[in-house]
Amino acid sequence: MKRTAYFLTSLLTLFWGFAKPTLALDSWNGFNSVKILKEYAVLQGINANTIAMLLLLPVIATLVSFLHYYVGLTGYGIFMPTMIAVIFLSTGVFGGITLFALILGISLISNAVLKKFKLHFWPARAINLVFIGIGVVLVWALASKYFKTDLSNIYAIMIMILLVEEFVRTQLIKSKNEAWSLTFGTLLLASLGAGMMNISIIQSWVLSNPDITVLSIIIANIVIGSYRGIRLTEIGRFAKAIRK
Amino acid sequence: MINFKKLKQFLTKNERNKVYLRKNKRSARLVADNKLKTKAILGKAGINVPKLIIRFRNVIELEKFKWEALEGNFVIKPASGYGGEGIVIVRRRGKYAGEWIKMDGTLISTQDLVSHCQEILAGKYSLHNIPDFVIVEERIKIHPMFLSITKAGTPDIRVIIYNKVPVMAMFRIPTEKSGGKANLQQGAIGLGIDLATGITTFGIEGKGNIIRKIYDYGKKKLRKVNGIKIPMWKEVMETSVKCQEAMPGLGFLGVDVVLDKEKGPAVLEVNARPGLSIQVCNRAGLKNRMDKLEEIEVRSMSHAITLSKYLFGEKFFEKVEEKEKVRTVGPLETIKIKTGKGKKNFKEVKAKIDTGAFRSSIDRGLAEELGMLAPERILYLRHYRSALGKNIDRPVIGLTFWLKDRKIMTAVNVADRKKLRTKFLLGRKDLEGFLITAKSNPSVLNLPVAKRHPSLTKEGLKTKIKK
Repeated sequence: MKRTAYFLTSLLTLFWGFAKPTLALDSWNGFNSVKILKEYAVLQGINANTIAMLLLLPVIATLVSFLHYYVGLTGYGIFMPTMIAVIFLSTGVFGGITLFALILGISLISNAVLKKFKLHFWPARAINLVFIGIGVVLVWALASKYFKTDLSNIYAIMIMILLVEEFVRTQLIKSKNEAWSLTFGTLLLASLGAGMMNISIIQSWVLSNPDITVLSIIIANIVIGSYRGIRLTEIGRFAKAIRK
Repeated sequence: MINFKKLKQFLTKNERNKVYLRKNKRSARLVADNKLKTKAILGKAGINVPKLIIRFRNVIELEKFKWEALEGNFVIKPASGYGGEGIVIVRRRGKYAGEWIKMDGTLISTQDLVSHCQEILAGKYSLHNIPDFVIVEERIKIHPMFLSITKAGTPDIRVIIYNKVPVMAMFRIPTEKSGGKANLQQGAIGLGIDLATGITTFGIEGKGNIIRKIYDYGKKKLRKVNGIKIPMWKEVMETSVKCQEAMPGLGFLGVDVVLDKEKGPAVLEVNARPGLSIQVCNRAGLKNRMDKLEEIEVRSMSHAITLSKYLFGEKFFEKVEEKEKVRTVGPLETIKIKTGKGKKNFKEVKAKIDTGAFRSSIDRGLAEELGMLAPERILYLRHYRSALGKNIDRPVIGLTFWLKDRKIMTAVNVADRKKLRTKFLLGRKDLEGFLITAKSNPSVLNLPVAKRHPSLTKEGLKTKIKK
């Protein structure tokens, strides 16, 4: 398997020689298919940023993957951290976490209130959404009076509600500790992903070399997917277990 | 500094997921994940399981059931739950009708029990929230030996089995923190168990906090983690191996066993994805142990248990924490080989120390004489390259002997030592904890010395040269 990785990496280096010089739309040499597609899409009027974002999504997912299997950082799956990382790009990491804290706070209060009614799980959640809606608008209105904030990103609100939902469910079914650690892990992974995306060098590089990006993503994930070794977080755990 | 070489003995999550979980066939995994199916299969194989009182497949069956018919001592669990979720343990009836007292002492009403069952049926505790069945089974009462160790729930024993052999075991004690569940992830206490004797060794709390003492409610003080003898240990091992025999599609599994005072061990559930904290509380790696089992073909249940005892048993289980007095051995020592049950059945043999050898060796003739070459005593055959460069297959047998009053249970090679001075060779593996000196113990020096041919003695050579 290692041999395959090395072989593919050397192929990648070959591609680099071909794809690096910028090509006009007409000259397609097989190795820059994605770039051609991107240029064509832009010519048709599709927003270049959206395309860049679509390319960056798997990059973040690869980072999350790496952090999970090599370091041992866990969150709610791989798409949650990736989505939240994208959200963080528009709200900023700090703004996003504040929004999360706000929605979490409202949810916990509404849960405490609704507990007495002993409703079924889903209707209780639906009522919870009412509280969230009112709460967010209230805080937003108050905050806009004093700060200049833009919480109008409805997608940010929806995804944060999703995360809080996961938190509440884990807390109910498993344990509070697990809920907190998974949620914290998700936010941490998202922050790291957003941070990586924000580095302008990476952004411009991915935009100008989409083919290499695609290939690198695939190779990187093949390598990560075959990793059989120890995770960083496990080292501490097992080091304690070694007999002297 | 962290010894990275020693870290390799442990099974990591990545490797478990990638390599070892694949040893379980999908069909077998589905059965193991479903407690109802597991119960049925194990019951058919004659293995003791907690008696099923009733099961609810849908709301209609739930509504039909008259809870007042129960006296108490029952457990409600989701058929597909894992990690101890969704389990409600009811001890007995409360003072008033319609009330019950749970294991932790709190009250619960019949309506609450019904609601809980409805939630289980709706899939609250199952993977992906798929609708699930409800199991109501008898509550296994805590073994009196463990009454002083826990007040929160019923402790259980988890045995990990690989290639049909028990490789590691731990004793799980529920705590208040874990909500009465014997689940390490939720905060329960785990104690490693020596597979040979059933005595606990080291302890952890939760996923990795090392503990050395636990609270004894009987004596009202802290007691050492090491030294608790699990009753019916042999039966526990046998039950676990039988479980794997009943579910042959599982190559790597964990069996959760609970001890019933009268009926013996009962299997609570079979886990197709056992966790890795068991290595921390045993201070030993699963990978090392499982590697040793790779080439071995297990013949029967007793073979499996013998392998487990001799390959993985702790050497000095009673003295795990104690600072030992260093014992010295000389190049030649007398050992007492155990030939039967009881302290009187042993044979004294002269043994030579050989630090160049890893494993100890016993002469084939001696082994036959002691009745140790019977097929059931042979653990496996080992490919060997002797000092002379010959490639042979030597049988490896398990045996117990005493060296300087220290009991050693180990696996030894059977070799042809007919022409050698001593019938037993002590290798590095069994010399752990001994200090080797060059001075021989005088009482052992009376060995027959090989006689030289007359022509090769000093006189003989002189006469030769003179010619």
